[in-house]
This record gives sequence, structure tokens and C-alpha cells, in this order.
Amino acid sequence: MDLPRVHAKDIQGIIVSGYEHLPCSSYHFLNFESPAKARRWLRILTPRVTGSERKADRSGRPEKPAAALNVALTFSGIRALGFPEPFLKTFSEEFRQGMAEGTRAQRLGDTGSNAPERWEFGGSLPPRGEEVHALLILQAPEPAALASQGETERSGFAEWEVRELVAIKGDRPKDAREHFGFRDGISQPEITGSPARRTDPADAIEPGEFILGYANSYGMLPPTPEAPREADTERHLDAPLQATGALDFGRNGSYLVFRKLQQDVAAFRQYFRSTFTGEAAQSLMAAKFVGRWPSGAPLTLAPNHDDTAFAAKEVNNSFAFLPEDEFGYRCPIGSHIRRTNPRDALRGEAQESLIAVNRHRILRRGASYGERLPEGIFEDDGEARGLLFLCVNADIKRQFEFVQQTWVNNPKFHGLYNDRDPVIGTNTNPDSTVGERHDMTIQAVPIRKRLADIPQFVTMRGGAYFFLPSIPALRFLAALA
Amino acid sequence: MARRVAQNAVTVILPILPASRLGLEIHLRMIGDDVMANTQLRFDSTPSTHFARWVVLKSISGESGARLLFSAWFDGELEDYARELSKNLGSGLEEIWRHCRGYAPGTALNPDALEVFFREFALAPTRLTPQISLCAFPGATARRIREAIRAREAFEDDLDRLSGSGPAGGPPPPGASSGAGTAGSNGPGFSSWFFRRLIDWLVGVRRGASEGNSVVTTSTPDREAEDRVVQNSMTIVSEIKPGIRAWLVLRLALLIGQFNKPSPSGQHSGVSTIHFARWIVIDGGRNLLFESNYDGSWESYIDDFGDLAHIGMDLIWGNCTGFPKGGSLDIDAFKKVIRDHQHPAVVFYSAYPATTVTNIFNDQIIENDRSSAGRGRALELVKSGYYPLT
Repeated sequence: MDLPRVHAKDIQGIIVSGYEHLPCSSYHFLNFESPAKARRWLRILTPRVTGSERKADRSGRPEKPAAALNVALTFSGIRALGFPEPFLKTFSEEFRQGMAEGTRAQRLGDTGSNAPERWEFGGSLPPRGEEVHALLILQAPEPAALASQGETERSGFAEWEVRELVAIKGDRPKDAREHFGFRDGISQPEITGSPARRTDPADAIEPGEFILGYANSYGMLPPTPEAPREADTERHLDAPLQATGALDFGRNGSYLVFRKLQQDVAAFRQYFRSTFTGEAAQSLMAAKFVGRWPSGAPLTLAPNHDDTAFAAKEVNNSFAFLPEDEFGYRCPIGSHIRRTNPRDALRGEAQESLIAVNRHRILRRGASYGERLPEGIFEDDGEARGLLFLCVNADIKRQFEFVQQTWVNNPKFHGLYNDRDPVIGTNTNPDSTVGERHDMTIQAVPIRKRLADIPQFVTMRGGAYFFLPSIPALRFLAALA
Repeated sequence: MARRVAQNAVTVILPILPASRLGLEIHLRMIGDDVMANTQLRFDSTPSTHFARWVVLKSISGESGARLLFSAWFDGELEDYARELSKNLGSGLEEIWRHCRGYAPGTALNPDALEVFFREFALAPTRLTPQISLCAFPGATARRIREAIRAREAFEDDLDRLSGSGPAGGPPPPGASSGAGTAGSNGPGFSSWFFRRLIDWLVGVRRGASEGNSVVTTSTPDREAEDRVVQNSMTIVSEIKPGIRAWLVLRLALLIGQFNKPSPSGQHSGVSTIHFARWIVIDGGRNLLFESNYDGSWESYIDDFGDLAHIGMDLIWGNCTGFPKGGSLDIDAFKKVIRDHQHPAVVFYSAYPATTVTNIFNDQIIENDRSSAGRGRALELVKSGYYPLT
């Protein structure tokens, strides 16, 4: 299946590539003050949007883009641009409601200190003029290039009455470690037929899980937003859909989730220092929470100490749980990596598990924000730092929301009683009631260790659901009357 | 060893008097908002009740006006349960049912009258049209399940004291991984392929057919009612397709399905999240009712149907109008048809609301081991913090 390659020039680059060579990024949350001018802005912007097509360089290798620009729209942004009203309901329900809507927040665990009312942006019922309409994502090889790219883009905002509500700078450090000190971004599915490297066949996922218009893991075309034929005055979109006769607005597009997750690094370090005696035990327990050592070596392969032999790219993700770690004595059942990708161990049987798990995968495209807390520091320095979580998926509720609700924050995950993801879960706060306090069970023979009242180390600070239109769909939007 | 007590279900559907509709819904909502502490109707005063629900069924095709559905899953025989309800909840039930047509005032206050009422109005399968009734742990009374929860909590507290505060981990026990991951299936054989094709043909499913775009129209209150953290209820009323084929295939499905037995860990066809559920034909053969008390989110529950039991789903629901042409594996269309026919419970009671089927299974491993000396290996795993799923 190499359909996506055929349409690569139409697919926004961020869907297909993580741009490892562009570690500096910025995220601009925009509000459209004038629909007509916003459409003009979009028309001028679209030629600069990075597609997925890679031209061959002189040696015949695909050329990497020197910088990247991608653009995504919220539901209110698409509506503000004048998308034909009767067809708005063809966008997925969760996208229409938005991340901050009550029942969505409930299922995401965005309650208490994570509640949308406390977000810095994207929260529920923003005043007029504060609504997030679009997200502009810039990626560059180094800070100066990013700065000049940002300047270029910003210089047009005033003319087209595009107002920047928030801008966040992201960074992917060379060692690829997030703020708690662990190598991140290791487990990543690959799109079947994409030219990217192949690690493990278990990670090869049908294109329709990440790009609309292709078969998904059920062998079905994912639901797609539609547009009326008469709105496509410049004929940017493909032939009409058979089922409805309307145009397929979603084809070669996808949905994007953005979450600004603040990490309390001092609290994380303090927890292990005050709960366990001795440095060895402290680092082992932190690794047990994550499921990997700081180097990225998985506990299932390296159970006793951080063994860099298992941190190499070729081996750090080539493992299954059932053969040697079925009961979690190495990598605990409730650890972060076992929840976010249960691999062969979701159910008793490996093949069945892999099929079910691969119906709930996401493509992560995140970065870190803020300066690192220097090693050896256990007091909070008052600086904000954390993770900018971005993920691409064709069905937000079946993929991102499912992972968050049924795996990350489910106290009953895999037979457990009262545990949530000990790293990113909605855990115990000072104001938590009895029912909101959660444990972490460390499997061990003969007797497990039950750690009570796991503090919450990660707090949701803002975010939204976006649609990542194909490049022709961007042109269609820009041409709306 | 206690006498083995069977679990049974009772469902009564009565038309709501039009003038009472609004007041009744407000009354029920007040109960439902505080099911464990309201002053009107407290199912926790009835020790035999496992689950109970009140649902307002809004206009279903072929049936006029809103109707009130009551169902409960309980220990023992319906006669005894009628007495228990009348004794402990008589006035609360009276206050609700007096707003329904066909209900004689005072019935719920009189144990004998309530028994007669149930015999007359409770949905009952017939030999020709059986029901599929699923129960995770036949024989486990509500009382016993609650005792096992307490026993397990005490047991874990003991383990906490034993495990102290030193670092955990250490080498896996000898043979811990024996047999794990080797039970891979060899792919479907001819007979299962043939069986699937046969079912596809019977219910008219075309594999790979997609319904195209589905527009979901669920209201927010429905969502809130279906996403409680641990347990949820589902009530689906779907219209049976006209014609002899649907009539025959559905009876066949019910005939086969009525023998569906849970595994020792409470799973049905690998689905580990059903406490109690049933399919039963109602309204003189026009509609099919599905009621379920399940664990976890709505999405994951329906995904389990698609992942593990899609043949059964096709065989049953394939006989109902609106069922996707591609079968239950056209998961988006399947979810849409479920949603479109779903009626949220206004009141949903559980005798053990924080406990999943898998939790109950593990609670019993602990309890059984204390009373008798069996299940040594399972208990060893539980002590080590691994709670077996099967």
C-alpha cells in the first residue's frame, strides 16, 4: 500500500515526518479577527506549507526540508473561515466539541488541577477574540533560523488581522531526554508503505489510522469531513464521495491533538528521594514508573541497571512483554510505557493483543519547553517546563482519547484496582478526595510493593483539537466566498 | 459451603401517563443523582440486588409515547425478590410506578400484589424465542461479592505490612514465564472461515462495506451517564427487521446464545467487562432489548465487541434495522447504530460500584484460598501484584 506516497505533495509534512533534523520549533496559536482577511492570509501561507513530498538530491537520496511550516485549524477556526454551515456536522464529534468540553475533559482526566478553567489557552468558553482558530507550527534546524522564520510569519499577521494569542517555543534536545530525564519518543508507529525506516513489523500501521482517505486497521475508510460541490469554486478537491455525492474535504488530512503538559521536576525527584533509600533503589523505582531507564533501555530487556547495550535504536523498541515479562516483575503492569503501548500483553494472547492495540496508536510529534532543572537540584526554581504533546490520528476518540481514558487514567487497567499512569496520570493532589487518590503497584516476588498516594507530576496547561487539512483543502478554504 | 443461589433478572416496561412524564423524570433524576444517599429509593437496603436501573424509553417506532423501564439483577427467585422489594422499597416504588398506565395503585406496598404484578408484566422469554442472559459469576451473591472485596482489602493491608518499605523488584520466580506467549493461534481454519461466511450470508453482511460518513447525534447528558469511571449501564432497543429471514436468524442466534457460559474469570467470548447482560425480544416480537452492566468506557466496551465478538454481534444485531452492511467491524457505523438506539439510564445502581469483573475474579482468588487450600499459583501471582485476567 503506497497510496500516501502518490499523494505526498498534498499531505502536510508533519503527518508523515517528525523532522528529526529540525529540533527547534515554535507553536503559534492564532485568532482570526476578519474571516475575509484570514482567508487571504491562508491563501498566501499555503504555498509555504511543507508537504510530504521529498525530491531527490544529487546523490539520489530524498532531500530533507531546510525548515518546515504546517498549519492546523480548530473547529471554530474552520467555521470562522466560512466553511459551509450544513456540512460542519461532518467533522468528528470530539473535534466539534473541542478538548475543553465537559464530557471530553472528564474522559481525558482534565479535572481538578487539570481542568480547562485553569488552562492558559484553549480552555472552555473563551471571550470573543480569545478563541484559538489556528495553530501555526514552525520547525527549524537551529534557534536563529527559527527566529527569522518566526519573524517572517509574524510580519504578516497585522495586515491580515491574524492575532497571535500565545506562542510557545519547543526544543528537542540532542540527547532526546524529556525533563524528568528519560529518553522520549522511542515507541512510534510507522505508516505502512511510508518510506521511513522499518523497526518492527508490529509497529507498521495502516495509513488510514493517520491519514483520511485510506483504509484503517478495520479495513474501512475513516469517517471524513465533507464539503458541498458548489463551494469548491476553484476545483481544489477530488471527485465526490460515492456514498453522499459531496466532496471529500478530509482526504489526505488528519486530526492533530495539542497539549501543553507542565512537568514538576522537583516534585518528581523529591518523591523518589524521600520514598526510597539509596541511590540505586531510587533510580530503579523511577525507571519502574516509566518502564525504561534514562537511556531509553527498556526494563523488560535490562531489568537491573541502565544498560546502554539495550538503549541503541535497533534494540530499544524491539521487545514484547509476554515472553519474559508477562507478570511485570521487570516492567510493572501499570508503568507508563506498558499503558501507552501494551504491545502483546493487552490480553492473554499475543496476536489478539497486537491487533487490538494497533487500533489505538498515535503518531507523536512533540517537543520539550522550558529550561532543564539542573541535575542534583531538588527544590523547585519556579520556572515553567514540560512537554508539548502533539499527536496525529485519524480518529481522536478511538486513538488519542482512548489511550488517555482506557489505558493512562484507568484505575482498573489490566486487572489493577486503583492505579493510574504514575508519570503522566491524573493522580493525587493536595486537595484530592479519597476516591481521587491513586496507587502504583510494583510487581515483585514473593510480595508486591504498593505505593500509595502517588503525587501528580504532570499538569495540563492548555490545548486544543485541530484538523490538519491537506494542501488542496487549505486552498479550498482560502477560496471560500 | 453455602447453597448455590442463582442470579436472575427482572425487567418491566410500562407506558408513562402523559401528564406525569415531566414530574416523574425530575423525581427519578433526583434519585439517580444521589443513588446511594437519596431519601426516596435506596437499593442498598435490598441485599439481593446486584444492579438496578430506571430508564425512560423515548418514542420507539411502533410504540406510542414514552415508557418507563425498570430492571434489576438479583439473587434468588423472583417471588422472594418481589417480597424484598416491597418490604424495603415499597413506598419508593409506588411513588414511581403510580405514574404509569397499567399499574394498580398500592401494588408495590403489598408483597403478594407485587409478586403477581411481576408475574404479569416482567419480560419473559418463551421456548420459541429464548433470551440470551449473561452473568459473569453465576452463583456469586451480592453479599458474597462484597465480602470478598473486604477480604481482599484486608489481605492487601497485610501484604503492605509484610512488604515494608525496601525496594521491590528482584528476579522473577522460576518458571514464571513458562508457557507465556506461546499460545498463539494458527489462524482461522476452514471450518471457522465457513462458519463466518455462513453468518455473513445469514444476516446479509458484506465484509469491507462501509457506511461512509456517520454523523453522530448524541446529546451531552447521554455521554455523562455512560462514562462513569468504573461501571456503566447500557440500554439498547432496536427494531427487528420485518420478514421471515430476520425472524428465523434471530431465533437461531438466541437459541445458540442462550448456552453462552462465562469462563471462570467471568469472561464471555473473551470480553472481560460484562457483569450482567441480556438480549430479549420485546413488544410482541417487534423490538430487541439489550441491557448490560459493564466496566470501563463506552468506547472500549464497543471496541471489545468488534475485536472479540463481532460474529456474535452480527448474528444478533444483524437482524435489526440500521445495522451496518459491513457488520460490527464497520466500527464507526456500528457505534453510530448503537448510539442511535441507546436510552441512558436515569437511575443506575450497583451494589459494588468500584469493582470490575476482573477485580471480582481476583477478590475470589484471595477469598477461596483463605477458606480452602486451592489455587496456589493464582494466589502467588496476586501476592506478587499481578492480577490474573483469566
